[in-house]
Amino acid sequence: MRRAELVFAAGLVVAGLVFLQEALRLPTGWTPSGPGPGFFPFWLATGFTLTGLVVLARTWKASHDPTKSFAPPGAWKRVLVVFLPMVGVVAFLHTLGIYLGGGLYLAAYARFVGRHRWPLVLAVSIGVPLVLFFVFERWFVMPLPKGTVLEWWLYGRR
Amino acid sequence: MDLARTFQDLLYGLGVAASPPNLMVAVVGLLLGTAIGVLPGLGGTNGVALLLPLTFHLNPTAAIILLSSVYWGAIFGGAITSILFRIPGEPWSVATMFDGCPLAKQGKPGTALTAAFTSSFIGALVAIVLFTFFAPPLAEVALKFGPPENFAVLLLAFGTIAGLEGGDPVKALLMTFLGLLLATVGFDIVSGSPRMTFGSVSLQSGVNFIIIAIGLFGLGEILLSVEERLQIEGMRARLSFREVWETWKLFPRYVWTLLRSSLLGFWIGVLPGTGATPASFMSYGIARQFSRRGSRFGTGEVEGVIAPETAAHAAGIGALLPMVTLGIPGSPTAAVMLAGFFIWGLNPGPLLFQENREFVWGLIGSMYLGNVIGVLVVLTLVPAFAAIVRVPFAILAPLITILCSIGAYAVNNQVLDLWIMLGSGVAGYFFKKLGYPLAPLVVALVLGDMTEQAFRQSLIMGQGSPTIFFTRPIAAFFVVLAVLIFLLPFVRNLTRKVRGPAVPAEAPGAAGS
Amino acid sequence: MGLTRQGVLIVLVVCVVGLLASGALSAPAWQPNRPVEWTVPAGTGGGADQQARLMAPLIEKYRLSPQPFIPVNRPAGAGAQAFLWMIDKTGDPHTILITLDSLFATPAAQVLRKRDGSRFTWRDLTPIARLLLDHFVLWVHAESPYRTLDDFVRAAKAGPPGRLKMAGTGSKQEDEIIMVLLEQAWGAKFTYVPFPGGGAVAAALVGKQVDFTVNNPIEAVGHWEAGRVRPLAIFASERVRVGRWAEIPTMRELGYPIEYQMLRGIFGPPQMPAEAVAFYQEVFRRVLDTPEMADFIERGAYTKAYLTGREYVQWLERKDALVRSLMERAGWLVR
Repeated sequence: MRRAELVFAAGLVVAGLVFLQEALRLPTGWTPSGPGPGFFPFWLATGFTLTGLVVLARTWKASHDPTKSFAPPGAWKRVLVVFLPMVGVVAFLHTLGIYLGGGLYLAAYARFVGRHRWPLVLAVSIGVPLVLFFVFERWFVMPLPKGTVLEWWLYGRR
Repeated sequence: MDLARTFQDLLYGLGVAASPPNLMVAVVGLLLGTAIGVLPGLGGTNGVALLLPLTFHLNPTAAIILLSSVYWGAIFGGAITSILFRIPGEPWSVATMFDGCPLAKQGKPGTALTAAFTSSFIGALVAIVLFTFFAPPLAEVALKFGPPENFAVLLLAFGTIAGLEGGDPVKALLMTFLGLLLATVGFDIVSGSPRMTFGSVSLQSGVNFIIIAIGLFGLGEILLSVEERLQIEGMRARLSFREVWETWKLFPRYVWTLLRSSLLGFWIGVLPGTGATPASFMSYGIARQFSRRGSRFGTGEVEGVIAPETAAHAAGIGALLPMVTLGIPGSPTAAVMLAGFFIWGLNPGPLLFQENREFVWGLIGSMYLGNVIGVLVVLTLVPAFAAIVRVPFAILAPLITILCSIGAYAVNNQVLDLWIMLGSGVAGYFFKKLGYPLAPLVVALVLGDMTEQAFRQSLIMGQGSPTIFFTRPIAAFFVVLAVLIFLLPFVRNLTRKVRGPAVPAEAPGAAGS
Repeated sequence: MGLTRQGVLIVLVVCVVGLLASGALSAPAWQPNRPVEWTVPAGTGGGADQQARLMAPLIEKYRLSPQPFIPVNRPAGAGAQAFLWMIDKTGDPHTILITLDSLFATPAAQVLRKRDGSRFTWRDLTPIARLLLDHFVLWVHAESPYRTLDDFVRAAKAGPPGRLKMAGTGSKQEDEIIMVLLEQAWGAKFTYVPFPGGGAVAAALVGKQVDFTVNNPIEAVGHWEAGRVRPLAIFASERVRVGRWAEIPTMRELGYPIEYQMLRGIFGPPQMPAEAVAFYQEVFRRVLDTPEMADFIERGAYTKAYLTGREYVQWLERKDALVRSLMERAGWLVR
């Protein structure tokens, strides 16, 4: 637990420094007509970094409590099993689009995580994207990323 | 003011709104709006913008009734996903989540939903009555609110929300800094150039509050819940109308909260440049400070659902006031409706009341009817909404994720926002595990932008001198009030110490979210 | 009647051939086979958004296109996001853009890099048509002591620098550019207070937060009708001869040759096929002739200014040169 806290607090400090560096590219001073665009980003980033350091120092001083653990055993695996496919859907958005990608994600989740039976899995993973497609593309006429695969199938080459 | 005339106009307006075609339009709008409000990220603004072309085939009165009904529906609907899944359907339902979701987890989603819808309705009703009788004079007062006054009000908002979530004060400060810092990312309208964007053009749209909230709360929650076991059983919820009745019986004791939240929400909504989201947070913060059970806020207090919902809906109505009377949109949704005015061939302004009597009073009449119908519709659907949580988790979780992604994309039509959503999902998971409170971050993020803008506009107007906040009486009043509210907790502590500890201090850390 | 069978036959043949020929002529060579995505480089509710959301349903109503036009807002960075999006759609005939003057101002005020690292300019896009010109009017509060432009100029020159405050939309965009024009013409100095949108700008004037604005007609018309604001001059080449707008003198008439109009035009992505360009030109030409647009143009005191082809490009070049020179003089140009 303590190690996780330390690593995370250190990460926040690093993030603060990155923000600070970005803020320093702006005019951080006080102009005759009020604060410049970089004034608040600079001081906020400074405040954030300093507070992060305080958290880090406090955690460092705190004694290690072996009864507390960051996560129950096997938690990491389960979290990643859920999270990585989410990343996959977004990463392949360009080719698969939200409808195909979403359908695959639903199917995989329902089958391998939920251990539902195939008929249900198929019904959900085909039905949901279809409904979404009609709701968004047809009804709301809201173009969402369809992905090259679906575009090719719907409209052929352009 | 000529009361008799107003009543006569109102009756006329109700007649217009109750004509069968207009009534039908209102019901369609409400159902659509509720559906749009439920979908996270796809807010009332999108809904109204998407339906705008459709209104072309209607007369202006039916058109505004359709759009405003969508808007009411979205306000009602926004609470649903906040309460059931910790995913805010609309920006202003983030505050509803703080107590609504714990209530749902305790097996009382029906109570939370009923409280949300009913208080939403009451807030709307109070606001509509004010709208009916005082619209033109209130608009005059709203005009007196320039950037310095807006800044003072936002400062007051910060004051009421400070110390929102108990727990570690240092970590709360850290999260406030982070929220304010994220609010600076994007295109700075004062200097007319991008800042804190790390060279990314997509980031020039800024870090959107609703996308961060979806990630931090919604995805974070999904990740947390799979940690124990991948399969989570649906919440067991009682599904009966009895619960609606039981919840209603609680309402009389919150009369003061309801009234205060309605007035506050309405007024914040009327001010151009603030809107329903700050109103909901302020109302929540004030209720927490004034309530006897304030320290239990965040653990599933009904009052913590009532306060923000009342204010959000009252503000939603208030935001239409400057739109109709002055042509200034009080919210992004109102801005889209305003575009509709021009399309339908109407010029908003004081003359609208005289020249387009049918339109204005039809709109006001439809506010009454629309909200009555709206609350009946959503209340009858409470068991159905509560039943959603019974859908197996392995189907619900990916479905929610997909809907969140669609919503996050729809905000700016860019893929980067999906990465931001995923990133804040991971961050939300860690923050939650390591005891960093999330509420200060989202509050700072939503208020930070507006506050800085108002502050800088004011200083430009004052040619760099901060005296502008004190030479203008309204601004000075609110600044002083804000400072007093900031000090209130300290004063309370002091008096408590002087009087001796009458009540055993409740552990503030219990207020987890 | 002396018509022979042969004569009838000839007439029939001529008719059929004529019909076929006219059919072939009226059917455009290219038509969209999927919904057309119409990018709006600004948020919902603004002027460009309003126009796109007005024209899109008109295109459907009058069956000008077999596929719908769908407005999509890409508001980030005063148009930056929308412009780069168009670059990514190179060659796509189903993507168009409606523009305002940010097309010139934004790439001048910040360096926008395309994927190949070169800098974006409007010349990367395919010009389709100029539709409307939007005017700017100098407004003061109705209760202000400035009855004529001369009163105002005197006050501007007299007071200490920055005493008169102007509200405008955004920063380093058209409103502030016009303010700089005025400052240079009069040797005065104003305080510029940026607001997020035209409605808020007009309200700031009505609420006496500022002394003047250069709102577009449609943003201020409601307040004008209610007698809360007063127009002093219009930045047009000649008076707008519609209704009350004809009362407003031009800056030129009053002795200050300052003109500024905002482009409301349509562009396609780079390398848009010529047949597609022709299709959109036809669609927008006919949209402008619909009675709804005529009404909108009149109420907003727009100038209908349909222009295509080489003249459009030449006009764009002149406009770009003007905006750049003004921004350079104001010191906002980024090289």
